[in-house]
Parts: sequence; structure tokens; C-alpha cells
Amino acid sequence: MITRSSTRDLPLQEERSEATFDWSVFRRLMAYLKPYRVRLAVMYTMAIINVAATITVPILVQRGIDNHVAVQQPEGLSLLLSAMAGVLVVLFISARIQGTLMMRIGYRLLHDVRRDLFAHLQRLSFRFFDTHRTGQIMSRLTNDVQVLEELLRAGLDTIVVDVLMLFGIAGAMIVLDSRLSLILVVTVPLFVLIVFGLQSRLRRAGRRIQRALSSVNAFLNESISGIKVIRAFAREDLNTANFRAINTEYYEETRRFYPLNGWFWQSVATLALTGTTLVLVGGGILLAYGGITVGVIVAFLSYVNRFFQPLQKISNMLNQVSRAMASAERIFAMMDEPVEAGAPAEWRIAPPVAQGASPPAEVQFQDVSFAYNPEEPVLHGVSFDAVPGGMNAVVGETGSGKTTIINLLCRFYEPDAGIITVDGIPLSQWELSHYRSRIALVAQDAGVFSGTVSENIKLGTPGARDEDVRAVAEEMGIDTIIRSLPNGYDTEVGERGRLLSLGQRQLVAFARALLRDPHILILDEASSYIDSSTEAVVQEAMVRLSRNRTSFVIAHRLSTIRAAERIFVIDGGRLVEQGTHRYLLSRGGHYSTLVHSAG
Amino acid sequence: MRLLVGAVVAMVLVDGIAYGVPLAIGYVTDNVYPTIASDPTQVPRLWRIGAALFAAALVRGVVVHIMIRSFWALAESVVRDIRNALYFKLQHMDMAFYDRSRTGDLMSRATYDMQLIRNFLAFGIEHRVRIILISITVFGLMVWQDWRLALAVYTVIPIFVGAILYYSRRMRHAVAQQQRQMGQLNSRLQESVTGIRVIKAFAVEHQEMERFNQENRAMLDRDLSAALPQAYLNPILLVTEGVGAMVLLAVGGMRVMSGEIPLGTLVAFVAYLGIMGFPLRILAFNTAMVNLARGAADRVMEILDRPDQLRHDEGSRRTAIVGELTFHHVSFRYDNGPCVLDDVSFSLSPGSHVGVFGLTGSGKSSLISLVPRFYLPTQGEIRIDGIPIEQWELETLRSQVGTVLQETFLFSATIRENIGFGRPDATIDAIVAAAEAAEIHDFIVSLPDGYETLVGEHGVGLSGGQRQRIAIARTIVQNPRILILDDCTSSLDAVTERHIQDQLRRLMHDRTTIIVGQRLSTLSLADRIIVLNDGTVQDVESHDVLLQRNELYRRTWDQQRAASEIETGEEPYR
Repeated sequence: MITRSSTRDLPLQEERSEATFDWSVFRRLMAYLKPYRVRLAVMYTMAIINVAATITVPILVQRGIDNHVAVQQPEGLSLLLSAMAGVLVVLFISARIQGTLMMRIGYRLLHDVRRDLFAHLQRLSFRFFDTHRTGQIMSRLTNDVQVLEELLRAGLDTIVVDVLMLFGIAGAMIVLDSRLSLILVVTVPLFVLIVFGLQSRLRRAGRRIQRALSSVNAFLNESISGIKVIRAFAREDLNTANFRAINTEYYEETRRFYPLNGWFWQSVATLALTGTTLVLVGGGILLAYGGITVGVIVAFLSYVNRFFQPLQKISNMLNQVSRAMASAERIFAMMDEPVEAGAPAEWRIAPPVAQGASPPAEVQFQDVSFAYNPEEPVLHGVSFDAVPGGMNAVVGETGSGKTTIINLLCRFYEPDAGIITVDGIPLSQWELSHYRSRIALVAQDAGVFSGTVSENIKLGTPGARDEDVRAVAEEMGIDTIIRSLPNGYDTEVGERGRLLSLGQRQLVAFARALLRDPHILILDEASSYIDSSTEAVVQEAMVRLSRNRTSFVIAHRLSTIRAAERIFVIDGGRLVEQGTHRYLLSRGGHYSTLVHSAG
Repeated sequence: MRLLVGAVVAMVLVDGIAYGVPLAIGYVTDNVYPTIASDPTQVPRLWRIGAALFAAALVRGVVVHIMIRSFWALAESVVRDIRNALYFKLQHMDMAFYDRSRTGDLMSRATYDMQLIRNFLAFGIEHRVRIILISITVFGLMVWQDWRLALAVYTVIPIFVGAILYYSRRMRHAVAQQQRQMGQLNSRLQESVTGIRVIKAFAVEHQEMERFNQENRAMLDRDLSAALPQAYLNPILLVTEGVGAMVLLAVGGMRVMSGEIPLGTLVAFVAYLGIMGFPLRILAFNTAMVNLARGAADRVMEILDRPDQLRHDEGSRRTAIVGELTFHHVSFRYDNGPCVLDDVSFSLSPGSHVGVFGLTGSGKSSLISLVPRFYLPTQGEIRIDGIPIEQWELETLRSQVGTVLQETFLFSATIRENIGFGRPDATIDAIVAAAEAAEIHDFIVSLPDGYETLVGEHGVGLSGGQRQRIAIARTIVQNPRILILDDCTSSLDAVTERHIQDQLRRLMHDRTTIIVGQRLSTLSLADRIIVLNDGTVQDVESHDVLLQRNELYRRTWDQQRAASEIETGEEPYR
């Protein structure tokens, strides 16, 4: 976000090839309507009634003028007027039912799309989250769904009604006077020609605007989330200048858009008035030769007026529909992303497996290799047996592959080669949520969510009571720390826990892991932000808690790992040494180099 | 301004031409049609009228074009300016504002709300003004032609206007709630996406879905209560024209038959109803839109009206900082929260290095965030070179106070740009030198694009240590006089930490430095150590003195030393 160039060159989600109407996308969208088909049928029945009533009104007016007013014949006019009142009542009722049903069906559909998309998101693999930016994912659920909403709001309900209306009006005109209806032959093709001529240009310009706008928004987003750094480096003025530049770029794009918009409405306005003129002149000439009445001309005038409305709306809709199709395509593309291996078809509450009597987990890595992307292998044939029920430490320099071992153990990724077994069963054969319900991870990024401290601790243990939370906190010796927060356990932690310090967030993550009473406990550099006095307390509790529990610790601090029963030393993605602290020190290998440089 | 005048003139012309059409229709009905079969001069006359109308059609098209262009130009330039102002404001808001706000909410104001304002300016105003103008003018013309018939038609209209106003009031309330719910839904979503690792590790996807679905269901309810009034309103608008025609036929028909008005007047009235159709059709849409825009404007103004730091930025001192730093009886609390710092006093001479030691929650982070004036102290005074920090110009102050933060934030930009963040004019040599000093140069050149590699959300993934080193290089380039190290080496492995500490020691040379750390290894860089406990200064002494007389410090020291001694058999950290 620092310079304009770096933002401009980013691949943006809105950038895509020419939007074409894709029937498979359309069919999928239609599938969402299935649960509402009865209501949908009612809606369209109402729509047909609505169209019929609308078309009838000018005919009744024509009858009134020709049969009564123009020939001075008051009898029967009141009957005609009551018929008109009846038609209007029908029009009102049918339109109301139709509109209400459309909104209910439409917003329910949006709700269903959001629900399914979010549910799918929860089942996607880590590779997906590695390769997609947060903003990009967010945009599917916010912007793209919103485009669908706009389509709904702009009157998706009426697009079918409008088409019906066009044919209805054209039919009524032909029946009333086939000669005068020839004006349609002149005006309609002209209109269609202009609309489609401008449409593709409008679409292209619209896409460019979207792209420019998302640059503006990306810049804004980073400026808000990175505000602290911006402050610390006093970059406000420069950033403001850069923002202005991006914003101006967007502005320049819009200047290419609205003249096209002007052209469009100019042709609509000209054509509508030309239609009226043609009726007036053509009607007059027909009148000169006989065979037409003033009432028919009046009816035509109101039909011509109405004819252009649905036409405008439909052309407007085409634009919206193509945008919406593009959005729907992106939404479905995300729904088609392969789910995590082993993810169940439906997530259900997997109660943590009762621990107690069951023996501690046996974890084994057999010749495991892994790469995040094929060119850069991270792990090369790593094999080890963890000590069941003991503390296993993974040690190595930054970038040696420690975190990757943890990622594989949590089954965030599948190994490229080799097998990881837990209790002798390959990880790929475990049902995923069942397996994960047996582990607990404390990651470097604590992953605290908005809600209270207590809710955050309960996160991994559905059904936990407040007493359980307190008991765990007491066991860890952090009860007093939590109580000293403004509202104790009920303190709101803010978005991503930002009202807590990093250390406090870590403590919450610890308590959360222990409340779960897991079979396998995984600590990834977990204590780096806890001060050593607190850490000592926590460590003591951990030693107690890791008894009878297979645990893995990644820590850069030797004090954290000295208590481990076995230490695995990783260097350049290979397991180079393993053993106890004393054994490894006496061996004088890589580990002792690490230790001595630290001491 | 010129745009606005042009837009309004064009708008008046657009409708002015439209009013002529019913007059022409009425004239033709009365003066041309009745005799057209018998009088041969009438057909050419009709052609002439037709030609005039066609010319009017062309002119109207052109003015429509001008009107639309002017309004859009106006809208886009106004929105550009507001967006700039908003950004400027957001850049200068005090930190407490950011503590309270959610990113999702701020983003929604800066994006969605701005779009609503644009729409309002681009066609909302146009529609609103035309609705009023057309209704009044058409009424005037009708009265002029036949006031009795006009009154008959216009008795119907207030009923419809009443209905429209009733439903739009309902909508306004509902729309505000809809917006709020949208913000909540988005925040929920953002958290879930950023925290996916934890969610998956704990296999709580179902719980997350349940939480999301609650928001989603609430969203559906809010959406419907905003949308349904509109669905109720539309049918009312649809029948308006029909009801008008009915009244015309009944009252007007009688008057034509009794010979009080000619048939042409009745036909012209039917055409007027056609013109009135436009304002009536868009009235509901326009009302909803104006409501949306009003809400959006309120939310944007709420930010623009908030006091920012610039306002209490009366400081004007722009000289180079020497480096003397004094806390004089400083107390601090966030908003109305509990006291975080209580009567803290200490003084640092230029170039001295002080550590700040304390347990989690003791106020360390708050203490250091007061130095670059992220917050102002609630009581007491902080002085730099003897001058209260309020008197320093903010940018001068911050560009000379360097912070290496606990949480590194890199921007979506190249590594070169990230390292040069505080000094945009830094040469590539200076950047490379800084990267070398932070021991990240070798790694950077090993990347395919070297210093031009994109990092941040859009770029390559970096480990915590690599990010931290880039952040340190960033501060080296900034070359500040006062340096704050906020526990910045805690995520590095021991080997790298020792290397980095050597570099930090060099960086600290000649600079006043505050080192915050929970590990005594970090604090070993300091000459003296402030022991902070519960927001108060317990001690300010050297390591050796503290070891003898400070219980908290000694306890921690013993724990950490014990841990190390077992490992290496030599005394750690000193």
C-alpha cells in the first residue's frame, strides 16, 4: 500500500474475462429456488393477473371515450367505471402479493447462499487459506452477495412481468389497430440496437470502475489495520497523498463511465417522445382515411408511454444480471473448492473424547516429506516416535520446518510422502473432526475472538460451565490475572482480542487448550509473550497437566524445553538429532551449538 | 458550482419540453382530428406539428444527456473530496478511536456508505427535485386548462402521497437497523476468516457456523423489514394512474358530454397523467434512497466530526531531538477504564538505555505508547529535551521516536518499500545497509524478486522472525533519536536473538532507548531497569542493585537463571 504502483499491479478479484451468460451458473442459482417453488408459482400467477389488469385499463378508457364521451352517451358509463374499479382492485391485490412474495423468496435465497458459502468456507483446506487473501474471501460473502441483492432490489421480480407486459401491450396494440401498431416496427429495433450497442461499452467501463474502486478499498483497509505502524513512522501525510492519487485514478475512470450513461438516457428520451409523435401523426392520418377512433389513439398514447418503461427496465436488468452472474460464478467457484481431506459432509458437535482411562496417544512420523509449493520442499523424510504421555520438544532455527511439523500433526495439510500415525492409525483414516477434538493447539497467534474472556476459554469445549473455566484458570494460576481485568471473566476482549495485551491473549489460549483436556497438546512458540514470572506459574501447571498426555512443544527458549522427555532437533527440514537434553548436550552436535549460542 | 447550475437548467428544460406534449395532443384532438377527414389542409398541418414534436424529441434527448452528465460529474467529484477528507481524518484519529472501532465497520462506512452518497448525488437529487417540480407544474397546467377537473384529479393524490410517506418512514428505521446488522455480520465473518487456524485446530466449525447463522438469520429479518414496506407501497403506486384515469373518465367525461370542456382537454389530461406517472413511480424508490443516503451521510459525518489528534496538536516545535526524556508524575487510563499508570516519574539522559520490567498487565505497553503520543497522559507531563511533548509538532516527534513493535505489521508492498516505510526518500543503499544490519539481507536476495518481492497480505509468506527483522530494518532506516524496543526479539530463536541483540546494541548506541521485555536476556541491553508493578514504579536501578533489593526482580531472575544453568552450566545473560 505504500506506493500506487504496488497496489495497482495486484491481481484483483474483480478482474475477469468478459462476462458471458453461463447457463450452468444460472441453473445452480435456480436450484436455490427449489424449496420455494410453490410460492414462486403463486408469485407468477399473480404476475400474470397483474399484467392482464394493467393492459385492461387503457382499453376501458378507450371504450369510455369512444362509446360514451365522444358520442354523448352517458348510459352505461357507470357500469364501465365500476368494471374499472374492479380491475384496479385486482391489480392492487395481485401486485401486493407478487411483490411481498418476491422479497421473501429473494432474501431467503440470499440467506441460503450466505449460509452455504460460510459452511463451505469452514470446511476448506489450509492451502485454500494460504493462497487466498482475507479480503478476497470476504468479498465473496459481502460484495458478491450484495450484487445479488441489488439485482433483487432493482426488481428481479418484474423482469418476467416486464417481458409479459411487453408482449401484452404489443398484443393489445395489434388488436386495437394493427396499422397504427406499425410504429413499434420502427421504434423497437432502433431502441434495441442502441441498447445493445452501448451495453458492452457500459459493462467494460463498469468493470474498470470496479477495479479502481477495489484498489481504493484495499488501500483503505490496510491503512486502518496498520494504523499503529503508520503512526509510529509518521507516515500520515505521505499516505494521504498516495490515497489521493489512487482516489483520483478511480475518479478518472468514472469520467469515462457517465457520458455513456448520458448517451443511453438521451436515446431513451428521444425515442419515447418520437413514439408519441408517431402515434399522434399516424393516428391523425388514419383518422383522415377513417377506420380509427380518438379513443384508440388515446389508448395508444398511454401504451406507447408504458411500452418504454419495461424496455428500459429490461435493458437495465441485463446489465445487472450479467454482473450478478459474474458474482454468482465467483460464489459457486468458491463453493466448488475442494474441502479439507477427511472433512465430514456435515459438521456436528464432536464431544471431546473422554480421557481418563484411555492410554496416552502414540504419535509416529514415518518418512514424512512436505512442501507448501513444489519448488520449495520444507520437510525431507522426517521419521520419529514421540514419547507417549510425555513432553516432546521440537527445536531448530527459524525456518527449519518446526511449525510445518505441527501443521501436519494438526492435519492442516496432508504430507506429500510418508505417513503420520496416531495410535497406530494413519492420520488420513481418522475422521477429521473426531481427531481434532482430541488435540489442542496453542498457536503463536492466539486466535482470540470478540466475546468475553470466558466465552473465549470455552471456545473449544462446547457445554463447558463457568465453574469449569474458573477451575482451569485456578489450576494454571491465572485466576487472579483474569479477575483483575475490568469485568473479570466477563470482560469483552474486542475484535480479535485487541483489548487484551498479547500476553493476556496467550493466557486465554492456554486456558482454552487445557479446558479441552486433550489427548495431544501442541504448543507452538506459545509462551513467548508471557512474562517469565507468569510463565513459571503456567509451566508448573503444564508439567502437571501434560502428565499422561502426549504433548509437543515448539519453543525457542531452552528453559521451556529443558523439561522435555525427548527433544527433536530439526535443521533444514531434516531431523538431525533426538534425545534428552543431557544426552544431546554431551553429544556435542547441532543441539549443543544451539544451546551454547543461547547461553 | 457551474456544474450544478448546468444540471438544474438542463433538468428544467427536460421537463419543460415534456409539458408541451400534452398541450400538443390536446390541440391536435380539438383542432385537427375533428376536421381531418374533410379539410385537406389539416394533414400537412399535422405533419408540421409532428416535425416540431420530433425536433422537441431530439432537443430533449440532448438536455437529458447534459443533465445526467452534470449530475454524475458533480457526484463523483464530491464523493472523491469526501473520501479524501475521510481518509485524512482516519489517518489523524487518536489511537483510542481505533481501540473502540471495528475494522469492518469503518470499512463499511468508507465504502458502502460512500457509494450510497454517490448514488444520492448522481440521481437522488435529480429525482427528488423533479418529483416536486413536475407535480406542481402539471397541477398548474391542469388548473389552467380546467380547474374543476384538475381538483377532481388532485383529490386522489394526497391519499397516495400519505401512503408513500407512511411507508417510507417505516423503511427509514428499518434500513438503519439493516445497515447495523450488515456491519455486525461482516465483522463476524472477518474474524472467522482470520481466525480459521484456531477454529480448525479446535474443530469448532459447527459452533462458528451456528454463530454465523444467528447473525445471518437476524440479517434476513432485518432485510425483510426493510424490503417489505417497499413491496406494500409499490401496488399503491401502480393503481394511481388507473384511479386517475377513472376519475377523469367519470368527472371529465360528464363535463365533455355536457359541453363544458372539449374532448381535447380530456385527452390532454390523460397525457398529463402519463407524465405524473414518472414522479409517482420513482417516489418510493427515491424516498428509500434518500433515507439510505441520509443514514450513510450521518455515519460518515460521525467520523468527520470526531475530534482528531490534529486539534490538540498545537505543538509547533520542529527541532532535532537530543534525547532527554522525562516522565513527571504521569498517570494514565484508557477512557473511563481503571488506572493503568499511576504517578510514574523517571528521567533518561540523552543516549541512556533503560529497561522496563513488569508482569503481564503491569502497564508496560501503555507506558511506551505515551512517548510517541499515541495517547495523552491523564495527569502529569512527559518532556523531551525539557519541553512538554504537547509542544512538539506531532510529525517531528514521531519521526524521531522509533518503535519496534511486538506485533509486526507489514504492508502489501515490496520489501524495499516496507523497509523504507519511515523514510520514503531512503536510497536503496541505505535500505540494503539496514537489511544487512538486521541480518535479513541474505534472505531477501535469495528471493526471486529480491528487494522487489511483495509481502503483506498479497505477498509471500514470511516467518515471524523474518517479519521481525524487516521491522527492525525499517527502524534502522528511520534513524530515530529515541528508540523503543517493545519486546521485539521474543519470537526469535536463541541464535538469531543473540545476533539481533548485537545489532540492536549498535543501533542503540548514542540513542535514548527504552527496552521492554519479559525476559531478562532482553533487558540485559539496558543500563538501568524500571520495575513496573500494577502501574506504579517500584524501582529504577541497575541490574545488580535490583537483584539485591527487589523481590519481584530477584524471583524472576532466579527462575530464569535456574532454567539456564541446568542447561549450560554457565551463568546466563550477563
